[in-house]
Formats: sequence, structure tokens, C-alpha cells
Amino acid sequence: MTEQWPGLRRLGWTILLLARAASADDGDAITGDEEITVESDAPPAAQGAAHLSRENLERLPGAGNDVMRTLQAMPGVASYPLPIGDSGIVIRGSSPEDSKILIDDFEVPSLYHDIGFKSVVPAEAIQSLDYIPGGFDVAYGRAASGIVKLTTRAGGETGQQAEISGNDASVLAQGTEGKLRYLVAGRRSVIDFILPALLPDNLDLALTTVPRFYDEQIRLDYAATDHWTLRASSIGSDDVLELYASRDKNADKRFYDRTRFIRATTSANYYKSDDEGAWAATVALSAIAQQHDMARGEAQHYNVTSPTVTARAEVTRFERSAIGLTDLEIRNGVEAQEARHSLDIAIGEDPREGDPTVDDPMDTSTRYKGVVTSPEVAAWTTVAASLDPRVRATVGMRADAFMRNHDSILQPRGQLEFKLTSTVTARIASGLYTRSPEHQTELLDDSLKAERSKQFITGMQFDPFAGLRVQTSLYYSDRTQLIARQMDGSLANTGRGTTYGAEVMAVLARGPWFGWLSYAYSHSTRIDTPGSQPRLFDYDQPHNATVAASYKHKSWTLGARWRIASGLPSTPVDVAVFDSDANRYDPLFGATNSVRAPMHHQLDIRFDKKWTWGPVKMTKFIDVQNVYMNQSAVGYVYGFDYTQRAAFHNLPILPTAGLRGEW
Amino acid sequence: MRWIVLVIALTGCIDSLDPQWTLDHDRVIAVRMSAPAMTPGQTSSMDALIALQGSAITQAPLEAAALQAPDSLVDVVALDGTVTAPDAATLATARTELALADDATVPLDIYAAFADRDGKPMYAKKRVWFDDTPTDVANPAQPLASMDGAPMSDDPLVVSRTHDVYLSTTVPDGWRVNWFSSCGTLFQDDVATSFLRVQDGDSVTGELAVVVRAPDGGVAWRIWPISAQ
Repeated sequence: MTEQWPGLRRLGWTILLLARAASADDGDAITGDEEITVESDAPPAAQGAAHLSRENLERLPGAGNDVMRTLQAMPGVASYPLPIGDSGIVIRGSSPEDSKILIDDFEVPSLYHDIGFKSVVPAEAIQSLDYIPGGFDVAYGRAASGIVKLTTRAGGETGQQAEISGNDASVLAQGTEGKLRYLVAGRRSVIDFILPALLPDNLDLALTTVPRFYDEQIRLDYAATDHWTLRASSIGSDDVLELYASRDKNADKRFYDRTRFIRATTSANYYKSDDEGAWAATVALSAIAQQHDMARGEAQHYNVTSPTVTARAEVTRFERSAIGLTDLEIRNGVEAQEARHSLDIAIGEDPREGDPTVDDPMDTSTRYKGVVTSPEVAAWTTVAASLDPRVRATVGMRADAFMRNHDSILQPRGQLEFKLTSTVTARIASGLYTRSPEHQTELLDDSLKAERSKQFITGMQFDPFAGLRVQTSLYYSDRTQLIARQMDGSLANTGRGTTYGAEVMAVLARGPWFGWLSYAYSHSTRIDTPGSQPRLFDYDQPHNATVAASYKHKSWTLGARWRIASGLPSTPVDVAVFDSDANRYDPLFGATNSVRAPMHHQLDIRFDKKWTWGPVKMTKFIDVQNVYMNQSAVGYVYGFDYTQRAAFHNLPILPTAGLRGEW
Repeated sequence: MRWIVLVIALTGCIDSLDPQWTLDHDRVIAVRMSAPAMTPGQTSSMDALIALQGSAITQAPLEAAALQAPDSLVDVVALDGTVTAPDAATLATARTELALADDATVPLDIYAAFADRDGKPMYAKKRVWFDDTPTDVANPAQPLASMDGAPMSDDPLVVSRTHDVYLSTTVPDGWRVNWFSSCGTLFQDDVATSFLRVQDGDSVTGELAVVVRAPDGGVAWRIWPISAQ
């Protein structure tokens, strides 16, 4: 198949193509709608990267059919019981904002709902999950660490379905109408119906808007011609909560938080092969409307809306052979983006990487009301070719221009791949990566430059037989121009840091068995200002391992996952001074991130059972996290005067049950 | 993200900590200067309201004092915390050192140490203000308070265990109010109207205190013995 469709081998495990009936003079068109499955496992997008289909994602025990929890099984992803930062994940010891979440190739602000920490896309609406911890392609930018890429599912594979669990209820409709395939899905939390009954009566709390979320996914695929496919998609999420931390609803005890976004994307995709190779092209236009509206008491508020429009075009030429090279791929792309941030904020100093949290609800030292626009353009080109049957090289260049910050960066990236034996492949890759200064209040300072990260990655891949892949990786990242807080409270690109580590990942998907083994070692340090002492990153996690297996027999599937991970570092308080005028204790901190929470381990199990109920295919599942109730301390919280410290524990046990019907 | 922590706390994943309103905990409740703002030559003395676990509230002396001050003001505080406002020329020098306007009031942060039950220091900071001309800044009068709508005298309080008891004081806008107790459980302890509930396991005797703070540095407090029946 890959011989007939040049370039497909590089694109993934499973490629869905829509095509009309073959015409007489176009022998390489596909007859009817069909799914082309590349039989051999495709190479990873980068050394250490992983690709999970929906089926395997749903089989991972302890993941509860959820992308967020699945990601925590990946080597290099910090394991923590709560989503970290705005994006929700930390990759290879960096900061949350250093990694990007892409859905259908475009960025979304967050992968998770605040309630229940569920991802904003249910597993049923996902075709695949790609985890690229580093060394990614020139087509991806504005990320200095890693990429998580979700591809939504084209409709029409099965029938309609509805599902309810302890967290949420969802419906999904899909089908085909001529050349059109559609999928429409929606979900709503149900915990807001349960939570009020769970709260103790003696709480000094008034929940005026019980926490709830909605999300939606729409995807339409239209096979316009033999070579052109049109796609329109939308994904949205809306989380809201309002409470008063007092029974009498005192205005200064109010907390309101709403985060919502909706992204709409249209794209046209072209593919045509000829005797020498093939052409592929994509033109896409995407827009996102997003808002974060927070109010706390009568003093603090944070209301930021950021409508953003992105246009992208990419053209790829595959050549079977040219100028003595084989399997040649030449790809060129451009992207332009304009974001318009409307900000109305009155908050304290936003906590930066390494800043211990000091919470003062009256602090409004950061105030801004106005509009900030951030136009950005990017262009990239890459060439990949096999120098001989055992050696493949990829070289590329990406240029990013952040016009608001007057910062332009050329980012060379490359990879060499050596096929040592029929089952063993070695890779070495290096490149420059950047993150634009758009995190938190970085938007308010146009003198900030993008952070840089030089990445060096090498590793081996072992594919002893179909269905089993073992990857080992070593990496080193040299981070410069890191944005750090200065003595006067301002921000500047004075930081630098390094991360190095090793990872092992083995995935088995063969017959009734699905197995997963991952281990990551990481050490991540930084210096914030010249002359300051090196310190650990906030999310430095030296050890993180996961072992999982599931077995499918007839109508049932049983799986288990065991994981163990180092605790995260934190900054101790040496002493606190009572400010009598403010009635507040001001802590004096010890060395930044100099203490660490203990190691945590837990066992998760999952059971699925399928049966038929009339015309409906039913599935019930039970997913139980932390079966042996290991309540490790994952962090610490200080009392009001910092003389007492309490441990924040893992949930003792978290069972999730669900019921799904498909027809 | 902050409310996530709240939800976790509600689900019982955080070990218990002493609440901010408790008097059964070694702490400095409030520091007061006899004159929060002074003119040259005027003096002001410091006292503090101290709670020690298992003991009644005391107005304890400070163990030591320190300053965060420009060079010109290092001599204005005695070891017992008594402050003597410097002369006008010294204040002018201080304004220059602090980059203040010529007619600005001059702040001075005094750090005091008080002993806890074990003799270890508890640190507190109090700001005083110096000005060339007399001001009307002074500590407010002892706060008036009511319980379930009835004015509270200085007599010991007896509260019911069967229902919530509302405690209220009246202050101008911009003032801070903090309620403290070593009897029962306080709710809404940092607003003008609080309520007290005596729950199973709570102490049924102790003290109740309210502290009011004016934006100009004035402080006043009031203390009652309290028991629940």
C-alpha cells in the first residue's frame, strides 16, 4: 500500500481518505469510502513520541476513557493528581506553558475541564492521540518543550451512541449522507447535580452556581472531488462556577470563574499521485473565541477575551527518487495568526515559575485595562530523504516572527535515522524551539522576547514483531532567554536552564493483549537571574514509571495499571512575620524548590463488558483508581501563620462507572 | 485553579489546620501603637494582643524590636518599642532617602518579637507615620458589638449550643474586622457580621475577641469570656 501511495508511510498508522469512485483514467484513486490501514507500524513522529488510537486509549486501565489521564502514562509527562497549569500537562520537566495542545492541528487553550479534571474532548470523539515530547517537526511552533496532538474522528464508522457516568453524560451522532460524513457530539457534567448533596451541612459556603461544564465537537468531511476533501470542524468548552465562601453571601467572599472557548476550523486537503510520486496540500482557516472571566471578592478580577484567527497553508511533494535520493519528501508551509486580547485585570502579582504562592485577595498590584494585539507569522520548509536504504535524513527550517515583540527567530531542525537491522532503528535529532511571550501577564510587556530551547535527542527503536515497539531516548535541552521575575517585580528574559533525561517506552498491541511500560528519568534546573543560584524547575520529577496491561476475552476486557512517581519540589517557609495592619502573615521563604513531596504509587483497574440489548450494543465499564488506597502526600499547605503545615493527599480511591449504548 | 484546591479541601484530602479565628494557638492577634501617627517630639508606645494555646489572651510586652528604616530614622525606636518622632529636619532627610514628596507623611515599619509558650519568637510588623503637622489620626474607640441583635456589655457571654449565634459590629467602609474565639466554631470571621456555632467536639468555654483596624493604622479590640450551654 505504501508503495502505491507515496508519503503515506510517513503520515501515520491509519489514514482515512475519502474518494469518489475511481475514474477510468485515474487508477490510483480509492474506490468508495474506505479506510486505508498501513499494515506496518509507522515510525514515531520523533524519537520518544507515541501514537495511540482511540481503541487503545480506551483500553488503558486507570485512564477512565480520558485523554488527560492517558497522557499521564506517557514517559516524560509529570504525574500529578491535578492538571498542571493552564494547558494541564508538563512535558520533560519544563513549565506547562512550554507545551502546546493541538486539536486537529490548531491550538486550544486548555485540555481539561476544571470539574473532575476531564479532558475537553471525550475519547469517543477522538481518532488518535499523538504525544511528541520533543524534537517535533518544523510545522509546529510556539512550543519550547512538547506537543500533544489530538485528531478528531470522522463520522460514519459506527452508529449513534449515548453514555452516562458518574462525571458526565454525553451523546454522539454520526453518519454519512452521500459524500458527506458527519459527527456531532456533546457532553455535560452531571457532578453539579450530585455535589450539593455531598457537601457537609456545616460548611460556611454558598454555591450559587454549582460547578458544571459543557463541551461540543462537530466534524464534517466532504469528498468534493477525487483529489480534494473539505473539512469543517468545531470544538468548544464552557466551565463555570460561582460560590460564596460564606453562608451570608458577603460580597468580599465571592468567587466566580468561567473559562470557555470555541474553535471553528475549515480546511481543504488535496492529494494526487503520479508516476514519480504525489502532491499533497492543505489550506486551512481557523478561528477561536476564548474567555477567562474571574472575580474574587470585591477587589480582584481577571477578564480576558482573546479572539484569534489563524490561516495556514502547506504543500508537500513526495518523490520516489530524485537526484540519487529515494522516498523524498519536500514540504513548505506558511502560517499567519492575529490575536486580539482584551484585558481587564486587577490581580496580585501572578505567580511565575519558581514563585511560592502567597495569596492575598486584596492585592491588586497588577492592573490593566486595554487591548493587546499580537500578530505572528511563520514559514517553514523541510526536506526528508533516504540517502540509502538504511539512512534517512530530515532537515528543516522554521522562521517565526512575533511582530508585537519585534522578535524574529530562525529555527533549524534536523534528524538522522539509521536502520541498523530489520528491527532496530537509531535516531539522532537536534533543533531550536521557541515559546512566544503570551503567558499570563507577559502580554503586558512587549519588550519580552520568545524563550528559546535547543533540544538534542537520540534513541533507539526496536520493533521485534508487529504490535510491539520499544523505544529508548536520551535528551538534553538547553533553555535560554527564559522569562523570569526581577527584583523590582518586572519580567525579563534573564533566565536559563537545562533539562536532561532518559526514557523507555514499550507498547504491545497484539491479539487480546494490550501492554504498556514506561519509565522516565529527568533532571531540570534553571537560573532566573545572573548570579542567582541554580534551582529545580517547579515540575522536576526525577522518576516516573507506569506498567499497564489489559486482556480482552470475548465480551469482556480486564486491565490494570500500576504507576510510581517522585513527588514534586516545593519551597519551604523559614519564618513568617505578622503584618498587623493588614492582618496577614508574610512568609520568608527558604531555598526555592528545596524540598520534595514523597514518592507516590498506586494501582488502577478497569473492567469492560459488552452485550446486546435489542438493537443497541451496550457497554458498561468500571474504572477504579488507587485500588489499595495509598494516600501519599503530593504537596503541602501552610496554615494561616505558617507555623503549621498540612499534607495534601491523593484521593484515597476513585471509582468511575459508566454505561454506553450504540445503535 | 484556586477553587480546585477548595473543592479538594471539601473532599477531605487536606489535613486539618488551625483556623485563622482560633485563640487556642500561639499567635500575635494585633499590635497597637498608642499613637499611630506622630508629630516631631511626640512619643508612642507599643502593645500587642497575644494568644497562647490553652491560656487566656494577654497584652504582652515585646521581647525585641527592629526597624526597616532609612539611616536618618534608625534612632527613633527604643528597645521597648517606644517611638519618638524625629524633628522636622530629620523628617525632611528621611523624605529624601525614601524619595517622598516634601509634604508626605513618613512611614516607619517596626518589627517586634513576642514570646510564644516555649519562649520562641513570634514576629510582628507595625507601621507608624510621622508628619510635621498634627493629624487627627488616633486609635478608634473600643468597638461596639451585638449578639443576635442585642448590644454586648463587658459581662461574660453565654451562648446556646442549639443554634447559631450572630455577632456583629459596625465599622466605616474600608475598615477591617476580625473575630476570634476559643469557644465553638466561628464562621465569616473576617467580616463585620460573624456567627458562632458550638459543634460536637468544640470547646465550650473560652474567650471571644473582635479587632477592628482603620486604614490609617488605628487599632482597637474588645474581649469577652464566653461559654456555651
